[in-house]
Amino acid sequence: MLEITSTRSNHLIDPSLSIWGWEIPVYLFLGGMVAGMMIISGYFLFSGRYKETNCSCYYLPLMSFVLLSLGMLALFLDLEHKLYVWRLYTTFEISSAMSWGSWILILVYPILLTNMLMRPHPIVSERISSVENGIII
Amino acid sequence: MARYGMVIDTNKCVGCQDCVVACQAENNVPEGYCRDWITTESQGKFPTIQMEIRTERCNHCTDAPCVSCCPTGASHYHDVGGVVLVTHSECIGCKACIASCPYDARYVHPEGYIDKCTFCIHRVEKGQDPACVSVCPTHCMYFGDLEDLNSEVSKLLKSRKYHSLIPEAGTKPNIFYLI
Repeated sequence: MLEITSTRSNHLIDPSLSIWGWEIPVYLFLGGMVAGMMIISGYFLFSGRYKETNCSCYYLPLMSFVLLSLGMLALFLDLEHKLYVWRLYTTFEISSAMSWGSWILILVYPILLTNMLMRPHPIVSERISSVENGIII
Repeated sequence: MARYGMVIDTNKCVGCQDCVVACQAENNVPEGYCRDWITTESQGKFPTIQMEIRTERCNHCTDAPCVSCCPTGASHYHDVGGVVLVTHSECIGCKACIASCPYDARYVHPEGYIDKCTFCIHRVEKGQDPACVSVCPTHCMYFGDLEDLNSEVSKLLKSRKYHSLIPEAGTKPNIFYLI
């Protein structure tokens, strides 16, 4: 028989470790979904599918942008010291997966933006070319 | 370079919790939280039952996972004695360190940052013992430099049998329990 008793009763630590709430699973789900969407939109981009006017590759970067922002909002809500979140970007800790993740998330935004601008939706493209030609729609 | 550690004689510890109260008073630990605590471990079957009472806290590991996983560098090794500390103004409260600590020695302070035992470094730097060590009525706790072969802690580890907690985690804890 082995019996261990402890006088410790710290909040979120005892009786069982429960430090992360719904925010982390939501972020992981959305982050994973965005990663998949980026792969699919990359495939569409380089395989020529973007030439089809109804291709979802026109919507995926924008949807990824929104979903990733929601995921990051969930991550932010999970922080206990929220006002210090900027500290993530004052250093890069090579041994910390979370540091890698926070920097990668920041790098993903310009990639998504570039993806959006590289192949704008035909409606947007037409509007841009109309404006360039002096035609106001 | 100094490596501060603690040696605790489990044959002397009676689990009175003086160390817990001293720590709370010294470090202004918020109500309902504790940086150190008492664990009682019983094993065996009557009449050959064995019981160990010990005071536990952050093990100030040499390979601390809480330090390596911290994304902001708030968890760090102090220059003096390699003590593991948290810089409150750099901590974002992501709780990665809590998840990585095999000893569950950290908690979220109500003000948002992560808090834990500091080996009372503010006292140690003045040449005093940590508060828990200084108040122990049975003198079961010893604090000192594990790298100094002439220190009391080194001598005790040389002369007595001891164990550390969860050695299989590979974190090289710096608190040892004499048996």
